[in-house]
Amino acid sequence: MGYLVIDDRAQAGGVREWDTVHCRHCEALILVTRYRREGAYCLKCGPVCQRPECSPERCGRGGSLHFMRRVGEQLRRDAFARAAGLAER
Amino acid sequence: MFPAGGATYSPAAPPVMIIDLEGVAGKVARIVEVNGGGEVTATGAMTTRLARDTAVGTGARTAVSIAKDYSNDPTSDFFLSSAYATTAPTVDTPSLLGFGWNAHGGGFRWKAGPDEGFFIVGAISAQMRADAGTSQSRYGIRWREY
Repeated sequence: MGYLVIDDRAQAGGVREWDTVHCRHCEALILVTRYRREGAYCLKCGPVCQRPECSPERCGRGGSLHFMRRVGEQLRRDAFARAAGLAER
Repeated sequence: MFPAGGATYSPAAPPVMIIDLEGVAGKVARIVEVNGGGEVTATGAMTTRLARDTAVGTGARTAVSIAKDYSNDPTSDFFLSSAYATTAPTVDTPSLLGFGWNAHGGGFRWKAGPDEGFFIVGAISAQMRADAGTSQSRYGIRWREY
């Protein structure tokens, strides 16, 4: 879990702090205290945001939406491109 | 891990890019911290966000110095830039992270938890962007390369 702090004491705004988690589908930051309003939960992946693209219902139809899956796919594409001589090493 | 940033900066005409972290093919990095602080003595409302780019900038980069956590670490494979000579990166509309803060002695810091952070995979980029506010301030970013 991450941490976000915004310090506005000079403007009498105080210090605001939040725990943060990442949407497991798009990596966007979710403030834990607002999770009930801004977050949802995917049973396959974990906490997700409420963007339609990250809807838990969409996860699993064509494969997991977990962003680590897309990271792996991108790395495989890069490795193939290098092996095929299509990209700079 | 690579920390970078720190130079004083006043966003001239927001929305404008502050710094842009650009990856290279076959490399992976994770942004684990962004921070910033204001240096003015009167109220200065600022809006800062971190967002991916839908298109990487082109042309010569105006490089931002990259430090190392440990002197024996290898140099970073990534590019940190404050500007591109030909075409600026095209920023995505949704933000990975965004909020308002006040540059009158105020500041912000986001730090990723263990095994968390925003991935930069391959030759793509992400930028820290000033969406509002022109007050003098400083910004920093830290990432881990794999």
